[in-house]
Amino acid sequence: MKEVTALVRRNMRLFFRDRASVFFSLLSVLIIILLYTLFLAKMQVDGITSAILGAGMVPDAKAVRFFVDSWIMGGILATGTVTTSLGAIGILVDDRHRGAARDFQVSPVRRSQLVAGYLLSTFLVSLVMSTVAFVIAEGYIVLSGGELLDAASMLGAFGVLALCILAFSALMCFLATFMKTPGAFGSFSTVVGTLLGFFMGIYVPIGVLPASIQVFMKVLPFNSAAVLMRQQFMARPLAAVFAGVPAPVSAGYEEFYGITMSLGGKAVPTWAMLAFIGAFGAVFFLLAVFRLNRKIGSK
Amino acid sequence: MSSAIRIRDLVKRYGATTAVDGISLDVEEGCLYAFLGPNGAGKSTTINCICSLLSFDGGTIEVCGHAVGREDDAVRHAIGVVFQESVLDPILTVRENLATRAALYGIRGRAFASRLAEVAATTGIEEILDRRYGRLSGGQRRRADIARGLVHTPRVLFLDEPTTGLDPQTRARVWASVRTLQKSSGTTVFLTTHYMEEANHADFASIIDHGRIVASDTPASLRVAHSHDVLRLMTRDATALRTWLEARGTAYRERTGVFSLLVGSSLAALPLIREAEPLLSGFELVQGSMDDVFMSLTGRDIREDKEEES
Repeated sequence: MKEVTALVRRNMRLFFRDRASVFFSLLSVLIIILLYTLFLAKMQVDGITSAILGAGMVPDAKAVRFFVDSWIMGGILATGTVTTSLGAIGILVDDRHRGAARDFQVSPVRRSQLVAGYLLSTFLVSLVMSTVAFVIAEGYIVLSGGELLDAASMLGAFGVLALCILAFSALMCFLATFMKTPGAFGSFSTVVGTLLGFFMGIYVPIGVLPASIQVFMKVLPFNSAAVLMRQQFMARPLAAVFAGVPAPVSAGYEEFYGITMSLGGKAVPTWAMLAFIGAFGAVFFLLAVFRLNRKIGSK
Repeated sequence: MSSAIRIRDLVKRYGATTAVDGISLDVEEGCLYAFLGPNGAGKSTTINCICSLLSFDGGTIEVCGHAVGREDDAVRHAIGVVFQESVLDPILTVRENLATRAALYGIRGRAFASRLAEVAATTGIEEILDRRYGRLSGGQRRRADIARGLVHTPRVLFLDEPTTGLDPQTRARVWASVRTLQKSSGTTVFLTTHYMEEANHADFASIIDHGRIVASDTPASLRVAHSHDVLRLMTRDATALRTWLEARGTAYRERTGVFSLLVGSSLAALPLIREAEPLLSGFELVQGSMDDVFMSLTGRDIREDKEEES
């Protein structure tokens, strides 16, 4: 196991010492925050305000802001679990490209140890970076007048983070084995970063999109991840904004904003979403191990 | 003496092309063995097969008695490999790089510290241990690469084109440290190069072309067998020398007043020089080089010469 520890330490050092890679793995998170403050926030605030007015209530501007901020930050943290894993697994692509993988291969280290090294370091890097993103997100919410998450929700949020990172870092490791050059990997990362915002319903709420697209999003685990994360972030802002609003109306908005999810007219329970992401992660973990085994030690 | 490397009928194909076509060789323990050939001759493919990086289509390879392919773990413990390209991590220091690699062999802590001191001394990298690998010069990087290859005290060290892309001075220094480590620790060194003259540093050399070994011997014997010394005669009286040579029936080539004669060996030139002495203003004896050996074994030149002769 000490070999794995040495490899994990090496991979993490490579990631964190390269300031650019650290920055770029957080970049998509920062870009969404920027887009949000510049353009998207007002749209959502206006939407919620008119919804509450429509329900015959007087909206509390501060609560609305808290609601929208929490909504976007929950979503951003969900995307972060994917993009930071992606940043971390770039080391694998680099190793194969530069020939370091061959250097490992002429040493007596077992392939399973190498694979474990890559998977573990990706998970840990992503966990660290997601924690940084979490701090930024909470800071943003509090600075713009919202409240800090309570302990239970915070714990819940980290649970969801950990699960998502496990699942998505497995997926990203699997996909990274198909990338031969850092250039190809970079382009791939850009595409993932861009698409993810849509798959997770970050830029616009899922309810805005056509029904067929919604179904497509819901059968992918990314939207479930965002929903789970928002559930941790939105309990209090929901109560504050929709206080006194009839339950059916607020439930409609919860679904519209991707805080709950229903498929075929039936609500998808939280445990099902967790199980879905878990199963998805398990499948790609096995696939990643299989591919890494073949690719690292390709004779 | 036992063989550090023993190869029998090695064959490696890439699709329709046969990169290695039935190579057999024995490398004695403790010797410096040079594997010579032009780019694309199959040198790197052979080395990759020996190092358990590439599977092969036929034949057997044993490293220190362990069969490659079946006892890879034992093989990997016994070998150190210095790749043609830089494979250490550029943003880590030399020390960090060596620590990571040593850990893969189970060398950590105090054992690593003492081993690090040894390899750093052998390769002369004490000064650069705490500098980032990516910021080193080509020669420094090469020495760090060699230190990595040695960090687990391998019995056989492979160097794939260790001097390619280095300036002559650095090449000489790399050669000096390779020689030192081979002499002092008894490590068997197996290296490839396409600089023919570098084979002169080796105890034994094989020349490979189109995936086959075309000659295998000590560099000196190879030169004797496959190259000629050239005797150059300078004279004030070209006509007299020409007449004398023709009368003697010696073939020569005349260019800008210098007469070049092929002689079998340096000693064979002696009587000739003595006889021609009165006619000479000077002479020069150029020894056959490894380049000549290679040309005569593989090149088109030799065939052209033969056509001229016939």
